[in-house]
Amino acid sequence: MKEYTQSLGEGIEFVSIVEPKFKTTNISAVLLLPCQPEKFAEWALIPNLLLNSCEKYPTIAQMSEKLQELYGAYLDNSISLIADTWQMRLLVNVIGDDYALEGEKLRQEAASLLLECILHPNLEHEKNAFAESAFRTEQQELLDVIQNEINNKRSYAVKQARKTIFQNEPNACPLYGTTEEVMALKSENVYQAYQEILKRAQILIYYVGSEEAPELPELFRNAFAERKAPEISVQNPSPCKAEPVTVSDSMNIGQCQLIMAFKADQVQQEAARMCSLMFGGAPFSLLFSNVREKMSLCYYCSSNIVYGKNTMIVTSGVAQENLEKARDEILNQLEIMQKGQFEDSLLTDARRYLINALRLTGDTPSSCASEAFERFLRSDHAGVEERIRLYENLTKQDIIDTAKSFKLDTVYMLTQKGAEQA
Amino acid sequence: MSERIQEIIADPQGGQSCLHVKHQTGLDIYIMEMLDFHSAYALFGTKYGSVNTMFRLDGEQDFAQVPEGIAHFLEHKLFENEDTGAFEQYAKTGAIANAYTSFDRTAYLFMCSENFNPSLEILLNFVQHPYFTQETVDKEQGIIAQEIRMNEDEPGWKLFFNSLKCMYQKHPVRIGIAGTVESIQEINADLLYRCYHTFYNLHNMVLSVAGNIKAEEVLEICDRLLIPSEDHKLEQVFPEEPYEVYQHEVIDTAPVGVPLFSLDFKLKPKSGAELLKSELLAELAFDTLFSASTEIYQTMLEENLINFGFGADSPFTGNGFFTVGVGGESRNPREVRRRVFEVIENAKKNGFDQQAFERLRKAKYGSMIRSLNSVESNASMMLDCYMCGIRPFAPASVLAGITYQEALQFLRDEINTENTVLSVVHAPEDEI
Repeated sequence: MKEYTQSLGEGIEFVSIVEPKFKTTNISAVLLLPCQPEKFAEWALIPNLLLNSCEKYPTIAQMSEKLQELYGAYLDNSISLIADTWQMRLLVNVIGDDYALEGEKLRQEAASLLLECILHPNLEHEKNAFAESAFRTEQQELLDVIQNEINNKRSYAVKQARKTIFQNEPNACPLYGTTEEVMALKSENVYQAYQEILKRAQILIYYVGSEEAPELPELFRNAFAERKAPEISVQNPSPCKAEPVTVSDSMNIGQCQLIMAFKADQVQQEAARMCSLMFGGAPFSLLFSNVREKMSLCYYCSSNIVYGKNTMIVTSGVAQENLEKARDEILNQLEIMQKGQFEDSLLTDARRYLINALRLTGDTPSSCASEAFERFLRSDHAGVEERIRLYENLTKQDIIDTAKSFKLDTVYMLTQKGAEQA
Repeated sequence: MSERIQEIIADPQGGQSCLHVKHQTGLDIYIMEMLDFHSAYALFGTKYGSVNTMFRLDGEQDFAQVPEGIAHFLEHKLFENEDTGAFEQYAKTGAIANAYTSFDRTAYLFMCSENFNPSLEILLNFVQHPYFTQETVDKEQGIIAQEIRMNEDEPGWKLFFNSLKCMYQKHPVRIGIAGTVESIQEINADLLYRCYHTFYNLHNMVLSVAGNIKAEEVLEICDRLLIPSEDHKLEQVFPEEPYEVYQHEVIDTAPVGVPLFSLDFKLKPKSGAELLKSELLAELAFDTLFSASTEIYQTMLEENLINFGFGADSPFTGNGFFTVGVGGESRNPREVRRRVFEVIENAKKNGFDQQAFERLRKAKYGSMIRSLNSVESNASMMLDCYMCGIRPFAPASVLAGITYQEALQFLRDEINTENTVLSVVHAPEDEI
């Protein structure tokens, strides 16, 4: 694999990852801005407005036709929060030029299409706004997305819990805005927000393909003006509440959701990740072995770290009558970690598991781009092997200290409607 | 014992090849060396899923009828051996392991970037050494009950199984993969052993591995660890399923946002090469009629009758069942049904957009190339091909030979708008 990073001007970086074994070309643009929760709704509308149509392909039908012609290429997007930074990712994926049946230059076509989408959206120029029909369609789509958040009970419960876990922080705010906010949006305001993002955001371009793409840096340099990109902060620890807070909602469901958040004042990233893995991140972890396997309380009980927030979240689906038992056992298992009452083999197993997972990086285009992006977030150049050494150096005492630093902050329960009175 | 037989199967389009070995123990082994990758992926599977509920072996007089969900239960329990669990063993190699049960198969898998050989030894060992006691069976019931509850709270799952229940009157595809909280209470250690010895016979199984591995080393481990088994001449019974659907519409409620719907067409079941071609024809025909590039999609989107979630579903096929359909979200699914029927009847009469058909065939070719990009998808592809009774890479060559006329003929002969089920799941407060 050959990788290099090139600055395309202030605030814009191009990363090229060439790996001959890949049969596809992946080009993604990541745009980063400090969180502004009051803008979440309008920002959320932008990625779909950019990728579902553009000036050249002004309807979803025309855009789809173009993608089909490119051997089923796809445009994809996501928005997310990394600590208190808002991220929008726009991506195009197409098969490698070697597999084009008629010698088409698919990489160049894909790169041009992505830029076409980002720079030349489907507009009503005279109104300085996105085309009304596209805007209305995307607005309705976003309203549906918000309405559908209830469908997946586990992720819905986590979203609800985050309102309490990150109270008064941007992470408590709904990433897609609220129904009311989305309904109140105006096409011209969203267009202004789009221009603002394009002008201000820190931009990272990732190319992952089977051969060098010398034309791409120039193409993207010409596309984006230099900018004084705002300070991006991806380490924004969330303060732990003085006393743990318990919140519950109810719904007509068969299985209750239990969400528990633990916070630390200060935590070393690798130690926190290892600690969470040993606690509830693998089939040999304490939560899996005890809450699921020994006590048969649930099908899943797992933990993960929220990047940059010093927060560990445990999620579990349990029967109403076992909610308390599960909560107590999760706390009990954390205490076991804090007292160091776990087998030494748990650490060696977790270390092996993590190292194995890290070395899988490089076998898919998306993991290559993610790894490069994570290095950007950490502001270092440590490759996989250097990071593995960090994990290898962690001691049992490091894990005990990290576990001790986590304090219970929030318990959220989504319970069965009607059962609470029983 | 006979010698193993092996052949190399090549993929002219993707430029890859794999080794197929018929091992002397009866096991089919597929190996794809991908030495420029770091990782390796292995699947050990059996043709045993939730639909295999009635069977007997050569010499047995009566057919056994087993509780719903037992194949999935067995998958859970096989991870426990007498002294230790498979997960504990994998923890010593670092491999990421899992398993799944579907309608017609169960597969145990792991992925790793190092220690492939010891992980493969763990896989072959634990799958071949069952250990069930009533105590461990009882313990698992609580875990699986929660898995069932989790699925029941998933509206897409509800939508799908409601449709299957209306589509199939007798075929066991209509029952849930994990069974029900009640049916799993009937499962005991003896029943698990009976099912295990029936279906976990190497003549009924496959090992598929891909990635940074050496075929010779894989075969050496297989030679050492595979336990020869006799072909029991497994006989299975599936109830005779009428062609007609049982019920044309099923409307259910759950806490959901926009109403979800699926409109599924029941087709005559097929198998082997005929099934493969029919699946591709069905997929291409439905994509041509209902993809985002079509007029019906654009119109329904503009009228807010559908959202971007609308589209053709991949054909759902197996031993004795074959469906294809469209689905998504709509506040008026009956109107969507009316328009979908209209488009199909019109296409049957007047044909459909040939250019669109060719574009979508190109897109399908692209998605096949894309799926060769990872060790995981290659290993899964080889397992899928074995389960369907076709050779690896066969789908790409069949796709290349498919014509517009064949797709149109398939639509005319096989797609019947009177043999469909509309399944809807909506919030209790909404009206449909």
